[in-house]
Amino acid sequence: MAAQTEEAKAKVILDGKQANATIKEMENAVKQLTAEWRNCAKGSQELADKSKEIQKLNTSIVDTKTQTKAMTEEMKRGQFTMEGMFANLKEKVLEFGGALLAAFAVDKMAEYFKEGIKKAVELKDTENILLLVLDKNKSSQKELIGLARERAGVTTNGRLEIEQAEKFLAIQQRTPDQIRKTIVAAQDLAVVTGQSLQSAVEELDATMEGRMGKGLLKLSAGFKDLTKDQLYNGAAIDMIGAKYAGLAEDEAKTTGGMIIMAEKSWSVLQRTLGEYILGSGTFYQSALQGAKSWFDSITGHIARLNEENKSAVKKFEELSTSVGQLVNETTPLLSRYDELSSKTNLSSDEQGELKKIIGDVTAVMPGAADAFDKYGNAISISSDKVRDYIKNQIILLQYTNKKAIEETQKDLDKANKELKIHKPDIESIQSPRGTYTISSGYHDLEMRDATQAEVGKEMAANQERLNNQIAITLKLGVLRGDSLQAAIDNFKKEKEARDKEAADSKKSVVDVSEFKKKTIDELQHFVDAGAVMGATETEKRLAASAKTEIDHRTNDGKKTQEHLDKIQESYKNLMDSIKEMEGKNYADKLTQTQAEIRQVEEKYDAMIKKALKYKEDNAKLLTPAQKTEIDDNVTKLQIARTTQVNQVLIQAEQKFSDDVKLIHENLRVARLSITQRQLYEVKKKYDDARKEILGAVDFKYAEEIKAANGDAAKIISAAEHKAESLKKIQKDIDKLKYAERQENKDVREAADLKFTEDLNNLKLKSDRALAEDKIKIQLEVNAKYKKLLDANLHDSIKTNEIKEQMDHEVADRTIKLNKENVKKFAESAVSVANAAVGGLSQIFSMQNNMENDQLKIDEQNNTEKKDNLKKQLDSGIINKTQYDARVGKMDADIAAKKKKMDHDQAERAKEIALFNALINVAAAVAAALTAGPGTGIVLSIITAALGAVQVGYILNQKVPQAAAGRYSVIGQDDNKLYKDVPMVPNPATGLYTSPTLISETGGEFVIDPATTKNLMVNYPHVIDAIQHARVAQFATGSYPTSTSQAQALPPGQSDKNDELLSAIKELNNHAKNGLRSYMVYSDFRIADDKMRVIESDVSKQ
Amino acid sequence: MDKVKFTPREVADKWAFFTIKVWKEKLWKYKILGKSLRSSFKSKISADPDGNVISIEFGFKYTGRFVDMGVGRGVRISDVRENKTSRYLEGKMLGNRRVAKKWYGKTFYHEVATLREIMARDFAHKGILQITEDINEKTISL
Repeated sequence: MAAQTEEAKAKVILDGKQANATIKEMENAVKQLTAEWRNCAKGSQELADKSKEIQKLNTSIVDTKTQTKAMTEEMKRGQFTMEGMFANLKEKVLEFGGALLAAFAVDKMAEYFKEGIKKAVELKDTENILLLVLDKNKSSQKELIGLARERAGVTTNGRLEIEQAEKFLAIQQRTPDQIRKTIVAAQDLAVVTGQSLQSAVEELDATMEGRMGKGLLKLSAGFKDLTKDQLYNGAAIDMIGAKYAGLAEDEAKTTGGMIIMAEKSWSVLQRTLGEYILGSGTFYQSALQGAKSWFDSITGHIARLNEENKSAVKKFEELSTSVGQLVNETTPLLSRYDELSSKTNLSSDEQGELKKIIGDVTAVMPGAADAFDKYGNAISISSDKVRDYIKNQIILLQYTNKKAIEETQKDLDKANKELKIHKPDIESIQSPRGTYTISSGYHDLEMRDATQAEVGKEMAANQERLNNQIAITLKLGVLRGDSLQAAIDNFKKEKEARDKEAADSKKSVVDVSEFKKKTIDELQHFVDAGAVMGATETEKRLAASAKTEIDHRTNDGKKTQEHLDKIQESYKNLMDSIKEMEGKNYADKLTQTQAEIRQVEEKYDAMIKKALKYKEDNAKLLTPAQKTEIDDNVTKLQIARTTQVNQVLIQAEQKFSDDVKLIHENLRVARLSITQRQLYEVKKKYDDARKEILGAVDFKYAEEIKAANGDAAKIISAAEHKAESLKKIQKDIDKLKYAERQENKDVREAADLKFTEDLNNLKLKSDRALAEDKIKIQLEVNAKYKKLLDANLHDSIKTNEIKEQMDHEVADRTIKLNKENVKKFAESAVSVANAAVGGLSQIFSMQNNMENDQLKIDEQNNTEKKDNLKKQLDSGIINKTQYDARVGKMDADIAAKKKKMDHDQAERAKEIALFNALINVAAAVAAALTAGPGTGIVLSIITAALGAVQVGYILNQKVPQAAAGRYSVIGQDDNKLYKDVPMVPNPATGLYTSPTLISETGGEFVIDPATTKNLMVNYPHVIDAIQHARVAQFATGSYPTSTSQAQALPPGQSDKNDELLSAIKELNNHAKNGLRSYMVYSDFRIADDKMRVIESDVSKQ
Repeated sequence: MDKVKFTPREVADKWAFFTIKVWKEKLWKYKILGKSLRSSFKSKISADPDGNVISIEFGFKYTGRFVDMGVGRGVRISDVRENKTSRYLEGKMLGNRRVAKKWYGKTFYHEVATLREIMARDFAHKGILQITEDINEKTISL
């Protein structure tokens, strides 16, 4: 085992050092050293050194050769994608390439790539020359190739052949463009020589490098000497075939050819790399990007060839002949056949005729025969089949005709294009001062003046082009069924129609622009004119425009009226409710309720008093059991009294809750109205601003239109001016929109948040103040009576009296405090609403001032304008009519503005008065509440009012109804949100475990009135037990039970104490729990519905 | 043309770094958790004054080779193959479970091949740069 500190090593030796020189250089060095070594003296140190050096170099050469061979082999195996190139390389080339790659010396690489670049550039030149040669001799070559095709019967190469050729060229690392060109050339070559496409491509590719250009040059020179006869009798083809064949085959077979192949492969490799380095060749890029275009072009080429071979025109001509024959000859035969076949007996002549007809028809259409004799001859035909066939042939003819027309149209386009291309040349020839220039060579594109012969040739060529175009046009006419005249007529008609259309549209523009000024009757006239049978397009269009205008006006007016009606109605309701509230005397109502309560209390008090007096008078005679019974009865009476008082209170509260809610609703409506009104004002302000800006543009436009006096150019110019103006003011309009949005947002926020927040804060503040003040009162009273209590500490009767006195005082002061608190709260609540109305009033006032100021400015401007106009009139720039018209318009505008402003201001004043009235009513109601005689009822009313405010708050939150019969409710006391609480309108007896609208927090046992009555009659102890077990929630202190009270009461104590305590209990109970359950459900729903209706009406503004 | 960002020495340095990284990954893969071997990897690059890299040398704890071969702690190199065969035939074998964890050899030769490609590409880029410069300086004409 190796020691822990021992280290393993792995070494990578790079070959760079060994490859500092090429093999050739090293061989030269060896040669030189050998020469020197020979001159050295035997046994000398120099000889020994040289020998070592030679040996070292030789070893180096051997090593390098081995390595390069290995690397070359590796490359061949596929490390690079160029192994295809190396497959054809000779040994020498292999060695050279391997040595070069092994050398890896930068300078060698540079040389190598330089060579590659040069070759790439050279090849580009060669290709350019070749293409130019091909282009110049295109027509003669085409002709020859066309002849060769006819003779060879070759149409086009198959897809497979082309794919193989493409593959071959791709392996040769040809670019897509080169591949396309080579294949096109090879197809021609293959046709001429009768070779396969593959071999033609191979030959062309082999000879491409420098040979093809020369070969073709020779060939094209030879074409010039051929006569037309020679061309047509085929001698030329053989000659060309031989030349083409010799060009490739002979050379490919020779050693030189092989060397060319090897060189070509090597040069392709070099060129590829050269292109890669140059970047301009974009070898890889073009290989990727050009792939699609390459395939497209190939496909297009094939499609073109196919199209040539299957000329639609020719097919149409053939088909039209055959169909013509079919229709003219076969149709009478069919009629005759039907006639003969319908006969029962035929004469021998008729039979012969029938047979002949069958023969003729089946000759044209063998499928028509439907019965044969035993020799296979047709004995009957289906005339329907034949008719269908004819019909189909006609359809086919029509289709072919269409195709032929398309094709001819394409030819015509092509001919026109050609004419267009040569048009400048012809014009320069025809122009008296023009000079027709021509390029003098392939490389240098120097322009020179054309010779007379060249001019003549160009003119002749142009004449030929013209003739061709005419011929194609005529052909097209024939195909279209002498459509030329029809086309001309059609064209004329179209032109007339276009002119008419233009005139109409011009007229229409003017008319439509004036539609806004026309009355509905006048517009109706246009509508009627358009509805008449045979109305022109213009009339119809005008009718449509007029109808749109009428609809627009009607709808607008209708909508506006509806909207106004709704607003009016909602305000009327509001005012009615205010009036109704004004008619109610809440103070009287309260007194009435209080009187009822007193009546009940007096009744029970009398009974209790009587019982107690009886007990007192007969104290000695009564047994303890009898005394206890009397006490129990007194307690029962007290309970009954409390219950009845509660009942009265409940009824009163229920009635009053409606009224309070109404107050709330009205306040809310007022507030909503205020918000809506504010929003409306904002909207109006910005609408007016926009209207003013746009109105100025429209006015200018209208003026220009008027000045144009029907001149189309001026009208267009006016429209352009208008468009420009609109574009210019767009920014201002956008600013206005933005400002409007901001202001709307502010108003909404102020309305939604501030008002409710104010009210909420107010309530909290009021509650807090009330609680604090109550404690304060208690403490003060305690402090006041402390000395007195201490002094009479041992006298229980006196102590009780003092305590009673204390309770009285606390109760009195608490009532007083509540009154004050209620009043304060009511005043504050009213002041909040008042502030909102005050805010609106301020806004209105600002609005009024602004409008007044604006009016003044407008009037001043008008005065100035009038002065200017007067000056213009005096100096004769405008005439009297124009002056009057403009001044009249200005006056009318001002008058309209003033009228509108007065109306708006009056409306605002009215609204403010309305809101103020509402606030005053609210204040009066609040005052009435605080002036009420009963303490409990007052507080309950205030609690209800607070509840109403809170309900208002909840409503204001716009809590969506989650499901039918469910509501989200915020608890009045705990301020918690109870989501989706189901409402039970008729609660049944039982335990309600989850919050329900009747069982506020859940876990409450509800007993319906009938069951309660049953319990009271049959199971009074259950009621007692419930009463006994009730958990009273009081604000402060505790409430003595009836038993303890009876025990605590000293003899002779006034019954009024009980009343007072009862009142305090009621007071505290109401203060603590409120009366929410009696006002929330149905009222809530009704209020909600009503508010929704009002809101939906108002929000449509 | 701006692909040549590193000198040959930098390339060699980075290659050595990645080779060591791959070795360490292999150690994790074969659960060779000894810290001494893991922390013993180091590399040394020799270059001539022109900046041509001559050799890149790696060093690590010699025990790493034993782990690679699956020998040591009583297992001879001749036992490795036998153990492998018997494990294949009989399943989990008793006694010494040491197996060859070939973390070293394959990785090294693979990375050397990668270096060869990198260097070849590097030389080619150099050539391109040289030619570009020559073209710009008009020392060669097109």
